[in-house]
Amino acid sequence: MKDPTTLTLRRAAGAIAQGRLHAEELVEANLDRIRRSQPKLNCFIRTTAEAARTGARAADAAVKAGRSLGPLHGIPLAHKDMFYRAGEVCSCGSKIRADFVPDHTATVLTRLGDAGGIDLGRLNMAEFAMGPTGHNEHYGRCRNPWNPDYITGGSSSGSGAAVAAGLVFAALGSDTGGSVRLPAAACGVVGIKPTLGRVSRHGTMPLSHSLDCIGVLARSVGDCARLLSVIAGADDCDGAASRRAVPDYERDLDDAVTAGALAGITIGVPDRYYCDGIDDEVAQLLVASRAILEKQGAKIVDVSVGDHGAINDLSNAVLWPEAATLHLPWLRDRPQDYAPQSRARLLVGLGVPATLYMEAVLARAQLLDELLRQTFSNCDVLHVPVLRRPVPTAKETDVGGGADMAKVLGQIVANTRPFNFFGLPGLSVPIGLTRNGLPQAMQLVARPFCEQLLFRVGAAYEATAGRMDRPRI
Amino acid sequence: MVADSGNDEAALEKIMADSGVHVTSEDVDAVARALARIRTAFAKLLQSTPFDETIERFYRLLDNDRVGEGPR
Repeated sequence: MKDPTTLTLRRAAGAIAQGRLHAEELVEANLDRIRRSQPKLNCFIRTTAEAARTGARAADAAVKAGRSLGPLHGIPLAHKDMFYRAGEVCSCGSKIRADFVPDHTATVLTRLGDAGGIDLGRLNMAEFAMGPTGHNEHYGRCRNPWNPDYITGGSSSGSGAAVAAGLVFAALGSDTGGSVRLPAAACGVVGIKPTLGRVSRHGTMPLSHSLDCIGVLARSVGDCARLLSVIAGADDCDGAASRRAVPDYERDLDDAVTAGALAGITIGVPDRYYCDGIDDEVAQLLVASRAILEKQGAKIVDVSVGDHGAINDLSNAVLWPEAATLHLPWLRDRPQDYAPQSRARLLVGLGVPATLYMEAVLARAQLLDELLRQTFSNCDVLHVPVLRRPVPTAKETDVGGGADMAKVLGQIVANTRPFNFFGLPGLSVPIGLTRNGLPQAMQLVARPFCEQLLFRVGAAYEATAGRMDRPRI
Repeated sequence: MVADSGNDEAALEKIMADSGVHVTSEDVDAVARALARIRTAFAKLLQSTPFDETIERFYRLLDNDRVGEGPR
């Protein structure tokens, strides 16, 4: 096989299951790419090469014995360094937790391992998942494989860059305000932020209990669907994990690639906010993406939405008090160990009165109810950009903790955060490159627990437009 | 109560400092601006919180929604 790292996850898993590809060969190919790319991209905080080799040998032995380990049999993965594995350091991208060794393992890591996935190591991330660019003062900036001068997006920076660069087949990330969808968009891969509660958070670093979601970044819609099928579902260790049955997210994907696959599906384009001040190049890519969806049979309609800009601001009244509460001991005793941006954002939480926090938390029901009744009564899926402008350079976003920080970072997360406030699922799908050579993406959003519909729409788009090429590294 | 006025930065500084965290006047300025944005947003979206509203209703709306299980 020529270069097995160019396969999609589903194809690689099929090749391993049929004995046409050895897991050991695949793991070595990925480890080689990691070794060569690390000085340039800085995707990894730590690799676990020997454990991965042991896992690969076991996966190959299982194939020889006629046993399947599961839908991820022998597949190289790596994850944002915020998922706990008992006995292994989990830095959370921070200096403060640089030596933290958890005593339990995240449910999502257990499920991926049980499905046959092989863990190659810990990926770079924003400090405590608190930045949307990929900067990290402690472990160095993770760089975009399309052009290292540009940001990867964050906070799951290493997840986006590693998948895009072909270092692993998929990666877990977390999404509290866009941290899966933003790096997926900026790095040209697919990212799913599931419905709040769809995936267990047991054994994962918390940021905001009301907003945190565990998501997946992968090279194709189908690959994301497979990963979500593995990690979603009830968990006795996490009372906030939904007990709703988990569908087979891959089930409709074969149908999605046939002509007219989206007949009967209405896609709504919001009448305000999401395209305010949008860059012309990005707007053109979005129009082209809608034309492809329409060609596949979808009906495109304009829909009315509420003041989602205000919802974006209101989400700060939920996020930062919850985060500041968790970080309070370190804010008191180790303030110097935070990057200025992280500390500045956490301090907002100290100033929000309890009544304002509760008002924002209580407002979620009414605002979600309105969105479902008024907007989703007229469409099945919303279509909005992830970013309104081309991916910025690292220099443009290197704003420290100064006065411009909130404005610059606010622009990046403007289109993703409202859907964390609503708890709705969102899928980021690449739609092309802007003139700077960096990817752009559409964000598809659906009603609660409609991830399967998002995958169907995303797969139909991908089948017509083609998957994005891999950047040369 | 004092911080709810949104204007009194000295009071805001005291509230933040009472948490045991060292803050500077620059920190307080930035937080005051963030608070002002939050209050403006809340005023745009909602006049008041319904007396009978619950946190659980939000999660019920998410978990009980069945409309999207097939195209409309």
